[in-house]
Amino acid sequence: MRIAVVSWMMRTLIVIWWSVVIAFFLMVPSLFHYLMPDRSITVFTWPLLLDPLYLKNFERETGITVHIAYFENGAGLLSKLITAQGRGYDLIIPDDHSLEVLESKGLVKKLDKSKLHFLDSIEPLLQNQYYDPANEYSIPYYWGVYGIGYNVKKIPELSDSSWQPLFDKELIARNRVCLSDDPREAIMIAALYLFGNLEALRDVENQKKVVQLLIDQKKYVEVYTSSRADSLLQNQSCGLASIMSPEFLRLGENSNIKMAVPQKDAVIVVDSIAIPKNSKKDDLVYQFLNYLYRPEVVAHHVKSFGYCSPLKGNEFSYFCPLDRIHDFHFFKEILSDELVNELWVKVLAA
Amino acid sequence: MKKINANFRSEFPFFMALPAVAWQFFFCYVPVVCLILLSFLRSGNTAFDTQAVTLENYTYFFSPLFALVIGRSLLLAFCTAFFCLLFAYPVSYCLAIKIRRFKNIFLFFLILPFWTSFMVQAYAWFFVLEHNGLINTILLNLGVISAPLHLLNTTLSIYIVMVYCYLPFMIMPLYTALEKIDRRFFEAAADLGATQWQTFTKLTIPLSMPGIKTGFFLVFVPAFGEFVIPTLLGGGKKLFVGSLISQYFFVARNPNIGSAFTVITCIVLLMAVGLLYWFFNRKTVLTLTQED
Amino acid sequence: MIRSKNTLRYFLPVLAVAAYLFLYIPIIILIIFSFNKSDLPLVWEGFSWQWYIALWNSPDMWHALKNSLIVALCSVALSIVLGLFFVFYGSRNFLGKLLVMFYASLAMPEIVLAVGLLSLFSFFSVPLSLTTLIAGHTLIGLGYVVPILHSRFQELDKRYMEASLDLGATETQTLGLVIIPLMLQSLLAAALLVFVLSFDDFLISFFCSGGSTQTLPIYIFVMIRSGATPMINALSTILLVVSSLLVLIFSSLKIKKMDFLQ
Repeated sequence: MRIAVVSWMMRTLIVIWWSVVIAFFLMVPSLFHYLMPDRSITVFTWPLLLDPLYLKNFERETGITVHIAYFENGAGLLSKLITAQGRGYDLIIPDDHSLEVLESKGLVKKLDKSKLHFLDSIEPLLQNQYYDPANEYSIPYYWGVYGIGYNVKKIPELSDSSWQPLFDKELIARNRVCLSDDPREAIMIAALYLFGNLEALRDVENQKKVVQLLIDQKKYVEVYTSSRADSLLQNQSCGLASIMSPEFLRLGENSNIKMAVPQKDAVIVVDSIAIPKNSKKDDLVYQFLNYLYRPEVVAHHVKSFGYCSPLKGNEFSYFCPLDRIHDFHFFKEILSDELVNELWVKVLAA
Repeated sequence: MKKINANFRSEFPFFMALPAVAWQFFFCYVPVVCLILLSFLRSGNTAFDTQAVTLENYTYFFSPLFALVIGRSLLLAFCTAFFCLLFAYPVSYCLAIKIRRFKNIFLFFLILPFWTSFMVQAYAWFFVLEHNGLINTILLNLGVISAPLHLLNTTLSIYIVMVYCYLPFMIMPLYTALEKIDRRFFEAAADLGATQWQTFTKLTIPLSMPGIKTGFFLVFVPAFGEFVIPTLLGGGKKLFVGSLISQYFFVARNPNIGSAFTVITCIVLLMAVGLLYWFFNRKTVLTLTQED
Repeated sequence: MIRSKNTLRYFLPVLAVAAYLFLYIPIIILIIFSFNKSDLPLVWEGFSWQWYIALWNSPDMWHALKNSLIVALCSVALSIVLGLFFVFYGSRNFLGKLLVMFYASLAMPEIVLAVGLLSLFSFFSVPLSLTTLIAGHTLIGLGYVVPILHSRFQELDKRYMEASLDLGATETQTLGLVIIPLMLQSLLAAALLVFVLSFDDFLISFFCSGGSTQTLPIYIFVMIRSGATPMINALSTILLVVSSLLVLIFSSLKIKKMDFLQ
């Protein structure tokens, strides 16, 4: 009897021992980083926003290694950061809507502006936007506008007065359309077309109308995608698509694609720099930021990836309409992500 | 002290065998329990709170919309398994029974695609199905069609690539089962005057049944939860169980509803597997009694 | 009678050849276009190695590859060791009866496991990192390793083990000097299988990857979704070549029967 009891005690000890070992195993990397800080930072960003090869110059200058991780849309960024409570990344480059959400959840920290040497050269029109009125948490980085891309071989000319072509039944029945697969973007573009403003989405009846419009459009949609639109336009899988200006500008002069930026109810997206709450490598990050905003670095990225520059002194153009920036809409948090998801599920499941 | 030492010695097997069990317990069963617990809590709660226990996450899904999504995934899984079986059987049969020499080389080439990432496999099919892809270019040049066929971003493309990616999972157990069949059965059947067709239906198929069953389930269960291939190849236009789960967890960021849906789909899957299992076993019994 | 024999004679090989074509045509096209000079898919503009060079110079790719290799090798090591110990020591213990537990991870779709792991890790505030990925992949690995090793172990002649113990070897020595050599083929087959599964695994890596733990499938996925270039073709070709070499090694070990799946 006594041996049996001791035997069970030993077994319990063994169970506890292995549980501790497994728990320790899971926590090892965080301990590792804590005990042996290394000169490196992790940046979480959109694909095709930072050129890793160019950034090697930074590594050579300062000896700080830059690891880049990619998310493919705002939802990916938000879910990773919220689950990890701001840990794991030292610098993030969210779009304006994600930044709004992160701020409301307290997952970004205030910037120490004394350490940033380039603040004077940031274009003032880009600052003080709805998501960060005093620019305490973020600095505008690259930005672009949304519009309708079309293949001139299929559609010679497209009016740029509004979003109407994307929903024009005749046009899209002949030439298929590609819409963004980000639920928020698709729903808001439809709302802008129907109502001319995003506030109307708060009304449940209007939400139903938007869902119905998207369901009607779905018959003629070739693909829901947020980043393959350019190649789909080029191989004529679809005749028109909702794309962002950088995608179009990357295509170059010789493609058969043109882009129409709606003069009424267009959308602008601004990607900003922010630092997650639990990042512990602030001075390394500030050094990196000072490098990133150097004029030649910005010029290289603007030329390679087609974004609009955040620095002062750039010309206003059709695709970087700084002069009309206040006329543009942002993809704001009018509806919560849950509600957006619900509406989108209704559209897709129909 | 000595007693503890001796005690430990006698429990040494327990000590060494436990880690695997503990691993399975912590990383397979505890997460499932976590999911089930989460599914009964009201949205927004991640800590267990008796106030927040509710069934509303489940009742949310009692709607034809979601039944359609689950049904679509079930259909996809079943058809993928069925067509995989249809395509894999002739190849495995040839390889196992007909081919004598170079068996290993043929087998090597048959299994090789399995070792490439399935996403690469899906991506490769873009080149075949696209507007200016292989099929359309060949057919246009041959003059069979005048305008490119719309092959990509359709249900057809989803099914083709699903069968393509899961084919090796069906081939392996089928080949193994067919190879095990004693050649003398075939000789005996031929001696007793059976035609090729009779040999095939009354002998080969029943004897390879274990392989068919294994392969069917090896394809059916993963194909049910698959969403990457349908999303990439279907243009993101149709919702499947996997894409819905991922949307609830990532876009809506509501683990409670997401877990409830996961539990529901698991139960549906279990029922479907149970049904198929019963169907398979019933058929085998029938064949055996017929032969008696 | 003769006619049906003839049609059947040609019918089956034709089907088999069709199956091989079906399996290989997409891959062959993929390989061909990896040497394409233009970056538009399907528009051939001449032969070029540029995508391979771009791949070589891509730090993201090397980082993802490094992560994938680390995770895969650790998962293989852990699954094999844990699985072997379970199968051997469990047979001398009541724990062996818990074999049924290990079928659960195969019986559930991988997305359920991935989502469950994510919930578990966020519930206990475990930061997502390489080790959490390794934990998930090892779980999948165990689901394959344990059944394979168990069935092979059952097939072994028990008298070897008894003889070894009778001659005074401890259990551990028996394991190391008798059982492992007898099971070597199965061990290697299982190890290779787990390596491939872990290296190619997408779902668990997608849900449970943390800061800088992007693995190769995720890298490919992001590349496909964000405007692919033939760099993916180049990467796929290289992976294919490497996998073929691995499979050649696998089959050269004269493994005739894949009887674990019975």
